[in-house]
Amino acid sequence: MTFDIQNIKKSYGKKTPLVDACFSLSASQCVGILGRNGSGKSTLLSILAGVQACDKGEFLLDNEDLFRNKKKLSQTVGYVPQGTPFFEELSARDNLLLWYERKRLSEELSHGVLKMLGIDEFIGTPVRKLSGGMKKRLSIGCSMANKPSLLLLDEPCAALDPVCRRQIHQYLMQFKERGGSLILATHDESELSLCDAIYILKDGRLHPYDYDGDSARLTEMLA
Amino acid sequence: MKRFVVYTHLQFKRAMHCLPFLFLSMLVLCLCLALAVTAFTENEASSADQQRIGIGIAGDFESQYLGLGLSALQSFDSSRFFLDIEKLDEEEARNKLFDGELAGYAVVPEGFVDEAMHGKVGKLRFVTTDANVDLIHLLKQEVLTLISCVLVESQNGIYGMQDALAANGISDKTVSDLTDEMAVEYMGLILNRSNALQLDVIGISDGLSWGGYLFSAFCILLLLLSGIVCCPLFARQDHALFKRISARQYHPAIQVMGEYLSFFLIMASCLFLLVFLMLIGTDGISQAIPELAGQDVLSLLAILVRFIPAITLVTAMQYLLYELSGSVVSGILMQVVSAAILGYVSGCFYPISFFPKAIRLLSGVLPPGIARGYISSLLAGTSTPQQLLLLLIYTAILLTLAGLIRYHHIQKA
Repeated sequence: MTFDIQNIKKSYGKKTPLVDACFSLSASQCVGILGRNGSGKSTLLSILAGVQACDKGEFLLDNEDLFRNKKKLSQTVGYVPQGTPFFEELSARDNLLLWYERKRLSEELSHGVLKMLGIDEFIGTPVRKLSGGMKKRLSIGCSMANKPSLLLLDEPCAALDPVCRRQIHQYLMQFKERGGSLILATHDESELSLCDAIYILKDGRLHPYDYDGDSARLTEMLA
Repeated sequence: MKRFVVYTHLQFKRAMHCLPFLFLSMLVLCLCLALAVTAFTENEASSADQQRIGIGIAGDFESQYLGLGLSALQSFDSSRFFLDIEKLDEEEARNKLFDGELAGYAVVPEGFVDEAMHGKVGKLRFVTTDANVDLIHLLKQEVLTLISCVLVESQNGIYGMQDALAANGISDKTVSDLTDEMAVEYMGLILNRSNALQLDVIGISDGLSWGGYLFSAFCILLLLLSGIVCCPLFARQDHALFKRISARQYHPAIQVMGEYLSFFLIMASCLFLLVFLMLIGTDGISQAIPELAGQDVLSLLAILVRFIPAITLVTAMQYLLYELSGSVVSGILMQVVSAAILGYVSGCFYPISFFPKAIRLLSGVLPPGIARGYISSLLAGTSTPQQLLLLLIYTAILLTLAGLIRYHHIQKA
């Protein structure tokens, strides 16, 4: 299973955050995308998730363009956006009902991915009472509803404490080990250790970057 | 369809969170509006005996003709059913005018009647307030016409009679008695009230009674003001969630319809419950609304159910305002301002017939105005299928706009 992102272009009026974004990843691979604020990382992920359309480009899965097959795209790709947008008045269970059917929700809570994420511990709690880490786990749980092969995560550990970060990282490692692919958009160097390949998004293009732990060099590349 | 059902069900659960607050808010608003309406209708009481306009006469009462004329006016004039003429001094008249007990008063200068009897017509001063100018102008014209009619038309006859009696050697006392008798005869003949101001009570607007009109305005105003309570639920700044679930095939149309239906259901149910309890729980209220008087419980329910199209239009407008607002604060402001301005222009504060034609035309194209007009026509029994169709089309347009705005927000998020 190979994902090919080819010549993605997106512009908003006079701004063109994505000029020609290209990269590939295969099963059990994690790609990290770094970039300055406003460089277009979130835009790229939302395009690949099918939330918004690009001006041109292809998103190929084994040579089939997922942009032309929305149903397959939603079945193949799971998207965890920046922030944790939920209906705060509803419980975690009610929010999950937007993603899971009732029967399957019960199964996943008892012995599936939701159990692994620990969501069963707070399933009946209103979202407004959940901590940041709980909300992030819930968000990942939502994105796993279709059992995706590719998970797109936009700054998954932003504003989380180290314990929560470790929990999230552990789950992402398990996902990778089970054959899933990951694309991470991040500022966090600690997440780069998860990545098999790193790209820097600059001037609308993805530039491969060989991360050797040198933060100063990385900062210079991003500038 | 399945996604629509799931989404609507969840939105209804969200809406239920604010149902207690919505009901309480509506109850408080209901009580405030009901008090205001009760005070207003008691002042504007519709019973025939109280439809009187008080006119004071101050000044020179010495002339027997003035006294005779006033008595004749009150005896022969059928407009006494709406004109209450009272003799009093000027200061007392002024005080009563400012207290609202009189619509105006006339000040008869000294010797006015005697001068008039000798062909000199002095100026009669009439005092009134701004609020009564238009009506009093009408009355003034009528009274002046009466005065000139009595003086001019009868003058020649009385003078002629006096001359004839004097020429035949009749004594002065007899002439005087006969003159009085003739004046009274003239009063009876000349005071033809068929051209007088006639008050026909045909209802305040749309053929409705005061009570019926106020009830229709009350329902719409209650809805408009209650929209503020649901702002925290529906006026969102962060559209990331909508963006996310749209990727899950919960399209903007599904989102908007699901949210709107839940909003409509809680607003309609609160309004129905409150209004229904108010109508059956208080005999006075349903009696004050002649269009609803004597209706049993089932009939009242049937009438209220027919209000649904009007409620859909107002709630669709409120939902569109939620979509346009970028935050809870701006959402509340928009709801308050629109309730005040649109409610005023749509005739929810004053009967629409009181407004100039341009405002009446504007009211006819605004959602609250159309909704109020529809409820009014339901109560008056003059509703038409075209009105219902207009309501439904307008609702569809507003919801379509809301859907387009949601789509735009999702694209921008």
